[in-house]
Amino acid sequence: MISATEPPILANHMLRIRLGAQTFLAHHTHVAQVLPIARLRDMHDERGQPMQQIRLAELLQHTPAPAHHALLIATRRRTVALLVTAVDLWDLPSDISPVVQPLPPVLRHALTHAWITGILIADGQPLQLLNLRQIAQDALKQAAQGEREQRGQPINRSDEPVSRN
Amino acid sequence: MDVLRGESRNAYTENLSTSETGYDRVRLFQLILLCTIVGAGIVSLILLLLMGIGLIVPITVIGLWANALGAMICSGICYAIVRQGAIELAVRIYGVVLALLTFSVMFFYGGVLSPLIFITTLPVTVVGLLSSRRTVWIVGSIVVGGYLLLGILQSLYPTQIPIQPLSSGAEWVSLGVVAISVGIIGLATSSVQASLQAALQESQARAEKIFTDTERLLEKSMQQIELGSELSAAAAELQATSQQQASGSTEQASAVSQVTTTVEELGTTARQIAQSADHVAQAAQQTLEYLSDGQQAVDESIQAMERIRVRMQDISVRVLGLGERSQQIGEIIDLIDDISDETHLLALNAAIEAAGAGEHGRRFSVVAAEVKNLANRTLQAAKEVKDVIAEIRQATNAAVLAAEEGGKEVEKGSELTYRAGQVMDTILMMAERTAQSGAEIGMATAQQQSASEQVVEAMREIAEVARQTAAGARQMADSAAMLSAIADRLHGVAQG
Amino acid sequence: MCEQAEAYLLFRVADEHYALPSASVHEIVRWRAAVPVPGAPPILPGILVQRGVVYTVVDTRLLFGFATTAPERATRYVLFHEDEHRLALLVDAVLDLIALDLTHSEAIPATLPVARARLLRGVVHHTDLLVALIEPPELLAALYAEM
Repeated sequence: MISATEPPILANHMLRIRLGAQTFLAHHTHVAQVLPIARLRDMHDERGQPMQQIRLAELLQHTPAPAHHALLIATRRRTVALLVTAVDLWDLPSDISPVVQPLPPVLRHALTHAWITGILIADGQPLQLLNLRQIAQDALKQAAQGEREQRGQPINRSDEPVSRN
Repeated sequence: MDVLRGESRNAYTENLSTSETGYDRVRLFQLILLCTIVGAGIVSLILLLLMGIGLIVPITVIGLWANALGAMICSGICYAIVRQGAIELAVRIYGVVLALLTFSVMFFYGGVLSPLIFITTLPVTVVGLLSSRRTVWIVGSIVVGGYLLLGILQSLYPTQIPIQPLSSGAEWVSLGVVAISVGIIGLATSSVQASLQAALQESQARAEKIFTDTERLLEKSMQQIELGSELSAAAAELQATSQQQASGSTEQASAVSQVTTTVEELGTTARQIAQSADHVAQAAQQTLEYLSDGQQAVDESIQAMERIRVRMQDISVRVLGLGERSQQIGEIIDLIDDISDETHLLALNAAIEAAGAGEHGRRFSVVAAEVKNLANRTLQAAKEVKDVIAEIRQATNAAVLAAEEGGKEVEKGSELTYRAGQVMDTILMMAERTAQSGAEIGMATAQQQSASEQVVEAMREIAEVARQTAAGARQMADSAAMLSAIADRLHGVAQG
Repeated sequence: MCEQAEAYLLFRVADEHYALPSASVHEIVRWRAAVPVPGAPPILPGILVQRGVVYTVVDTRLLFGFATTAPERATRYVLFHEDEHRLALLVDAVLDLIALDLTHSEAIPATLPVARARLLRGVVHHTDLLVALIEPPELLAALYAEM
C-alpha cells in the first residue's frame, strides 16, 4: 500500500494516454520511449528476449481496446512494453489547475494496487494519473506468476528472482 | 296351260302342212329306198351264197353284186337328198340310176328279152307312183332311150360290148314292145298316181278344213276356258280383297276413332299447357317488375357503399392525424416532464441550500418548497396527460384498425352488392326469356289446339269415309262372291 | 418546523424509502456516467466531479443488498459529505425534503436483512410511507466493512 501522504504533483508535461474511450495521464519520466506498436517486433529486452508486451486496457479495465502505441517502461529488472490506443504529450491549458488531487480515501482503501496516484480535473472531468512504473512491475509479476502457474512450478520459488534483485 | 296349248297347236299345224306337201310320198319313197337297200343287201348275200356252192359263174356274180351294191349306193344317195327336202330330184336320180342298173343286169344275164326285162319296169313304176308326170316322162324317156341305145350298140358292136346281141327282128320288136310297155306302164302308173293324188288331195283338203274348224273351235273354247278360270281367279281375288278392304276399313274406323280420342285429349292437354304458360308468363312479368325495383335498390346500395367507403377512408386519415398529433403532444409532455423534473431538482437543491442556511434561508426555503410543489404538480399533471395520451393513442390505433377493417368490410359489401346486381341482371334476362318463352308456348299451344281440332274434324270425316268404304267393300265382296260363282259355272261349261 | 423536527432527504432505493439528514447533503444531481477507476470494486463504480470536487460514487443498491440495475430517468446522485469523505449515493429516485419528528421513530423490524439493518437508525412513518433513517457515519462504516 502506497502512502497517502504523497506531495501534490504538478501536472506539467504530462503524457495523455487513451485506452479505448477513456483518457488517463502519466508522468513522462516513467516512460523510456514511446513508439508505434509495429516497431516492437524486432526489439529485445536486456536479457535478449522478445520484449514483454502488456495490453494496458485489459489490465486496467478488463476490456480489450485497440492498441497502436507502445510505452517502454524500464523497471529494475527489465523493460516492459505497455500497449495503449494512443499517446500524446499534453500541454496543460492555462485555465486548468495543474494540481493533482489525491485519490479519495474510500477508493484508496478499496484499491489493491497503487496504480492511480491522483486525479486532475480538466473541463469538469476527472483524469486519473497512472503510476506506470508500478503498473509495469505488477504486470511483470503477474506475467511471471501466470507463466509459473502455467508450468505448474511451486509459488515459493517465484519470489527468489525478485528478492535477489 | 297357254304354252301347252300353243305347242300342241303348232305341232298340229305342222302336221297339217306336211300332209299338204306330200308327206306320205316322202314316207313311201323312204320305205322304197330302205326296201331297195335291204333287197340289194339280201341279193348280195344270196349271190355270195350261190357263188360259194358253185351254182353260178363268178363273172355273172360280180355283175350282179356290183348291181346290188350300186342299188344300195343309189338308195343311200337318194335318201340323203330326200333328207335335204328335194324329193323330186331324188326320185329322178333314183329312177334313172336304178333303170341303168337294171339294164346292165338285163343285158348281162338274159339279153334284151330275158325274164329279167321286167325289172326295168320297176324304177319307172316307182317313179310313176311317186312323182309328177314330167318326172315320169323324163325317167321313162331315159329308160326307154337307154334301153334302145343299148340294144342298138349291142347289135352294132357285139364284140366290144360283152352282152348278148340282138340276133333277130323279133328281138328288135320285142325290144320295142318292151320300151313301149315301159312307157305305158310309166304313164299308167303316173296317171293312177295323179288321180290317186287328186283324190288324196281333196280328202286331205276336206280333212284340213275340218281340222282347221275344229282347231278354231278348240282355240275359242280354250280361250273361253282360260277366260273363265281367269275370271274365277280374279273374282276370288276380288272377293278376298273386298273382304280385306272391309275388315281394313273397319280397323281404320276404329283406329281413327282412337286417334280422334287421343287428339281430343291432346287438345285438352294443350289447353292446360296454354293456361300454365300464361301463368308462367304472368309470373315472369311480375318477376321482371320486382327485379327492376331490386336492381334500382342494388344500384343505390352500391352508391351508398361507395360513399361509406370514402367516409371511412376520410375517418381513417383523420384518426391517423389525431394519432400523430397526440404523439406530438406526447413529445411536448416529455419536454414538460423534463422541465418539471429539472425544476423539482432545482427546488430540492434550493430547499437543501435553504435548510443549510438556517434562519436566513427560511424564507427562501418557503419559495423553494412552493416551486417544488409546483414542479410536483406539473409532473403529476404531465403524467396524467401522458396517460390520457396513451389512452388516446390506443383508441386512435383501435379506431384506425377499425376504420381499415370497416373499409375492407365496405369493399366486401360493395363487391357482394355488385355481384348481387350481376345476379339480378342474369335473373332479369332469364325472366325476360321465360316471359317470352311462356308467350311463345301459349301461342304454339293455341295453334296446336286449333290444329288438333282440325285434326279431330278431319278424323271424323275419315271415320265416316272409312265406314262408307267398309260398307262398299262388303257389298263388293258379295258381288265378287256372286261373280266367282258365275265364273266357276262358266269354267265348268267351257271344259265340258 | 418544530424543535424536534429535522430536515431529511427522502429517497427511494428499489421499492424501499430511506431518509438522510439534509445537513450532510450538498446537492442532488441527475444520473450521468461516472468515470470508472481501475481496480475499484463494483460497489464503487467510479468517480464524479461536481463543482470542482471529486466524489466517489456508491451504488446503494449493492450496499443495501439489492441487485444493481441500469439507470433510469429518475436515477439520481445524492452528493453528501461525512468528515473528509465526499460521496455520491446512487439512488433510484429522490422524492422530497421532509421534516421528520424522530421521537416517533420505531425500532428496525427484525425481518430486515442485516445488510440494511446495520446502517439504519430506525424507521419512521411519513404520510403512508415507512421510511428508514440513515445516519452518514453508519453508512460510511458499512461501506468500509463491505470492502
